[in-house]
Amino acid sequence: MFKRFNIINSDRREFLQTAGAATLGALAAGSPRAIQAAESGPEATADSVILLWMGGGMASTETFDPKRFVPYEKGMDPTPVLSTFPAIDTVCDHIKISEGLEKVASVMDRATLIRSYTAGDLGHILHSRHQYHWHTGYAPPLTVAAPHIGSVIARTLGPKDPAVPAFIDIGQRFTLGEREELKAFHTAGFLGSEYGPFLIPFPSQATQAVQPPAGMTLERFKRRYKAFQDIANSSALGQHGSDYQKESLHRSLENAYRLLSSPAAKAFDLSLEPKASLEKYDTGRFGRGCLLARRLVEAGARFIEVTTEYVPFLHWDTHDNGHTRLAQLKQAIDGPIAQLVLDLEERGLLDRTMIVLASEFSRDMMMEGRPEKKVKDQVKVPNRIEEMKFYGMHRHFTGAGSVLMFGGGLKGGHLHGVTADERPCTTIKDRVIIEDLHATIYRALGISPKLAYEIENRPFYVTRDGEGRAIESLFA
Amino acid sequence: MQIPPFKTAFLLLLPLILHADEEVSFRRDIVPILTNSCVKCHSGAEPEGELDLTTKDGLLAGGVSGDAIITGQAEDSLVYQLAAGQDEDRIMPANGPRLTEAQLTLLKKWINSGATWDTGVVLKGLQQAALKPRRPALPASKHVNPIDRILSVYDQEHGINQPTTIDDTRFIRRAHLDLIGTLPTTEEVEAFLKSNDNNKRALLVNSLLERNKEYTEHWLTFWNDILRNAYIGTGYIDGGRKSITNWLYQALYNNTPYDQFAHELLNPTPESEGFVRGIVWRGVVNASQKREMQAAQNVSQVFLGTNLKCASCHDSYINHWKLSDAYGLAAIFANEPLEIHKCNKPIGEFATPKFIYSELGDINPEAPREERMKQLAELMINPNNGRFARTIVNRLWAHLMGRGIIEPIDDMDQPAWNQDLLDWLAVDLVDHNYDLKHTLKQIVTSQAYQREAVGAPAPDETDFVFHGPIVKRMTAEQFVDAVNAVTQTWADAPAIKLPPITAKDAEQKHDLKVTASWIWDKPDAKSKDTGGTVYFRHSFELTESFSKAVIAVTCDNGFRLYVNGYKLTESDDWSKPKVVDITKHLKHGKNTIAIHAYNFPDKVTGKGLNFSGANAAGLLASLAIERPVENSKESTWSEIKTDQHWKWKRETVKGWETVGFDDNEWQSAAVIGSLNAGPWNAAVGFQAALLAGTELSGHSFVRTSLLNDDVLTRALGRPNREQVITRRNNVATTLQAIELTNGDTLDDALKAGARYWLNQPMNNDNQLIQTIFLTGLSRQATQQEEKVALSLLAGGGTKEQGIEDILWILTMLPEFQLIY
Repeated sequence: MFKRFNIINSDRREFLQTAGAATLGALAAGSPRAIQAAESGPEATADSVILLWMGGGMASTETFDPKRFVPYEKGMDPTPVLSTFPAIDTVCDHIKISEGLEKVASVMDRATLIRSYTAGDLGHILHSRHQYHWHTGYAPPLTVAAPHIGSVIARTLGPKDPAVPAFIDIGQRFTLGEREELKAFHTAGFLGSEYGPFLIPFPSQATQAVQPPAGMTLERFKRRYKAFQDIANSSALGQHGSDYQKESLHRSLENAYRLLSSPAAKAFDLSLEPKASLEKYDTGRFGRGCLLARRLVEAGARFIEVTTEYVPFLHWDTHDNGHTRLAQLKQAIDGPIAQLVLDLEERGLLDRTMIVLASEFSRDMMMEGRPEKKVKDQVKVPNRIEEMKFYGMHRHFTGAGSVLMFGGGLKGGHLHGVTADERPCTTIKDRVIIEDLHATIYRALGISPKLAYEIENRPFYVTRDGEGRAIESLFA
Repeated sequence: MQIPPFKTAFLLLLPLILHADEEVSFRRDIVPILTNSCVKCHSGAEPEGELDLTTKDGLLAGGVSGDAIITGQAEDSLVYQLAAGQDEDRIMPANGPRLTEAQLTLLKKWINSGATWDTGVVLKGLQQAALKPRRPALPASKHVNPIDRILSVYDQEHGINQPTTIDDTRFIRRAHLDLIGTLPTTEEVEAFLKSNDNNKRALLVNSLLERNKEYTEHWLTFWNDILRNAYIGTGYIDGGRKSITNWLYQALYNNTPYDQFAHELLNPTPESEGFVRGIVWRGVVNASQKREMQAAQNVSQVFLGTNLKCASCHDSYINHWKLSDAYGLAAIFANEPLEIHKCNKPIGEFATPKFIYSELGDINPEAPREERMKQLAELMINPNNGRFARTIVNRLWAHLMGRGIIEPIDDMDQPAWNQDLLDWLAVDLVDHNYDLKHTLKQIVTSQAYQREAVGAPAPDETDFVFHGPIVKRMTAEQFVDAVNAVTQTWADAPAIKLPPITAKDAEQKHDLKVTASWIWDKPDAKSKDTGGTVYFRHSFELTESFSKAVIAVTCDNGFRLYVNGYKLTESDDWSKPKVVDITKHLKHGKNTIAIHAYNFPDKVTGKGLNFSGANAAGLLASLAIERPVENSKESTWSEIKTDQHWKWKRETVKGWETVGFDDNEWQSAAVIGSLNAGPWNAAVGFQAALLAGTELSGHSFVRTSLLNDDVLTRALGRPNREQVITRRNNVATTLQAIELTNGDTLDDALKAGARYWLNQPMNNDNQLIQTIFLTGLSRQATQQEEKVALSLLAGGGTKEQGIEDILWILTMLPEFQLIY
């Protein structure tokens, strides 16, 4: 018997009022089928995730895993330098982090700190390729377009609130260097564009993304939509039977309309934040991005990525002036991160919101690559440092890296993994690879690492080959 | 699961082995065994021994011999006992090779660990379609079109009685969008509806397929996706990728026969080698993604509709391909001996170059790479390779009809819903020298194509029955082109340089000769003009019907062109003539071309003021008008051109550019030289530009397929072309809708469109609304629609805002975005 896809003939109105974006996506022909893992995992401990992305390679010895500090001196030998900042105490006696992160230090009792994250061995070091690997769990190239972790979560769990896009990406532009490479993983891939990122390159302009077009009053916006409905429903085609294509067009517009005219859209408007609160976050785009993330989590967002923005040779991509630039970068992230943790806690949301701060790999003054696999040096380090610009971590190091996490069911004041105290400061205990880190995030959300989506008749697992294993010891 | 301490220590010793204790995976380990060795017999309506091994329920239900397995006890399970050969009389599989020791171990482990079966998985027996071409007899039928003759039997079998045929309005819109990708213009619709020719649909199809430039720029999208040819993207950053745009554009434009098309991709020239070269990434790449493996996967998918991706890592469990098949095909493209890797680990063997359908012939493994690729190209187009033609006709059918005769379109081993139809279309393509336009014509002129469109079948649909084409969504490129048409706004320049083929081809098509002369106010202007503006006018009567009008203009130093009072273009670069399709601006009766021409220095425009002294000035314009010849496909071209009949004046007068203006007092122009007169010697470039322009037929804008992707086209599903994409996911999404509702790209186009329509001469608002509807939907607005639209024009804001809102509503309508 020939069945038409015709789910809402009976009561379209009612359906439309209840259908969220997830329902809509699931109706898509060709949308891949989920293959649930046989066993069921532990219960979810989180509903939302905020990923704080330190794009460009954050040196762990300058941030969350301080080692021997050697202050700058003209003519100094670079080889003994492991950190260019002294270590500072945190509220947890057993955890020290780097100078410049005093506010984060004050909330370390809420943090789980992984020091043994080890980036994938992808040979030649290329930022966008490692970022692709971190965000999708797969190394490119692939025979199918791999989805971003945010898209997997959006596809699997749907939006928390139907009026708020499930996956929001804050702070990255796609008009600068390596833009094509960045676009390649900022996508839902084969899962379908419904689950792709809602892009907000500039947090302070976020409202524009959820407002009627520039120059259009809300009144006119509503009138336009009403007129659209009048015409669409009265057209000859409107009575021409029903099919999913037409219905999905209607529903997608209705969802957009609902978001753009709804109170939830106010969450995107940073100008509604009290001045005192805004100031605590306002260290620049990243800080405002953290504030926006908090507001969006309050409004019901599922997955948010806030990036310091990857631009070749800028921000964390320190090929020179590492020390000077890291002082600025830490100033930009320290306050907002701590405030984000405190604000979520105060609102009772930290328990169910996991914050993950990560970077594609770490950096070192001397070593390019990792001890077991060195690669060609990309930055020249002089035998004697005569200028400040050579003082810093300028080479790409993949042997260890730090991931800082808060909330979402994780322990507080917890350290995981150990790195060597002498160069190479590589992972020596409890190595964490991307598959396991993803499995840990998925585990918090109640998603099995063995969950797969079917594409071209075969399973595509949310962690590579379904082999990611959550680090259970991190959970409270 | 907490990692036990001993394991942590173990990990420290062997950091590269991350998860040592291998579990049995149902998907990875068991599905291939069941699929390859069991379900061929243990499936279907009457499974062998009444044991159905395609589902979990079937396995647990057992068969005539009782329980098939006892969960947790492999040694006591009949499946394992028989597979292990414990009963010599009943070794399973009964037909085919025994399970290997490794397979038996996996089976045992699986049963012992609980025989988990992923929810909902239903195994399919492996299908393998016939390779050879097959020529089915065409049944007797009242129909002429062979597709309809085949379907008349099919319809009868499925109780489909006299399916209805869509009307002319729907047909012209559907055919335009499917064949050349754009909306028909209002003039095209009107002419088509007016025609009483019984054969007019076939004639329309022919003429669309002959519009080479538009055809090319529409099908470029389809082939760019399939051949993953991007204009920018990953790989280009460091030379790890090569574009085939020039080659592809020319191949489509010239309608290169499909066998030759494939041959040129497989045994390529430097222009076409990008496809088999693939994308090379810096750094370490999985063995299955080496350049040669990419070539094997893409060649087999694109040309043969089969998937070698699984077999690139291990023997496939979704089809019959082995690791050695994938490596054999890949080795053809390899410069060095290609070592076989299983799951990214070398197995110590090297691949022998061979075609996956080795029954068609051999590849000489000793031959150099270029020779092997040539042999592959020959095997691909070998007449016995019926799969090659079936795959492409199935793609074309799917593209036009919304669903293939076989689905998925990349798995041509699946059963067809009508094998005769597929086989016949394939041999018909070969019979017609692999002319893809012939197949397109066969399909589009069939009654099957002209049936009412139906909704898409549900995703879980199993018994597909063909009722008619499935409603399709416009691609991103079609949508933006269509928005451009209703807003009269488009991109200035393509992102790619188009290969130089259009002018020459156009020249052969019609006998248009340009005989325009350079004119100015005085005969010595060729060298002795001292600058300033000259206003030129020329009026003419159009009494016969015309189908197309294209004007080319150039002026030293610059000009502004007005047609019947409307400014259409301007330029101050005489070396690049401006070409504009002005078909819709001309009318029956009197028309006027008015040109504000200037020479540097010119105080009126403020241009070239730093110039001084005498220099060359001249204006050259040629308007080509096409008139249909009655009862014929042919048409004739005539020229209206700059000559001594043009009038000029040095001072501006209000209304000088309008039709009604009286220019009796103006002076006659001076001819200062023929078309190729110096100092410009512009004949060749000018003629080529005009001839190319006449090819454009109402759509003289830069098509979206020639642009790089942007936020809007990405949101609408344009892929990044890193993988072969044979079908886009074209469902509407919320993110898309947000972009369509408040995105800058569309909003800017709508604003420009509103300004355009506001300035069009209309008798009243009703006429404005009707014209916009005709342009966008190829039909008049209904009374109700007109009423709503009028209320928008009168409501709250300005009239321009009202028009903008009407344009938004129109372009959001399913009727606009869907191809019915």
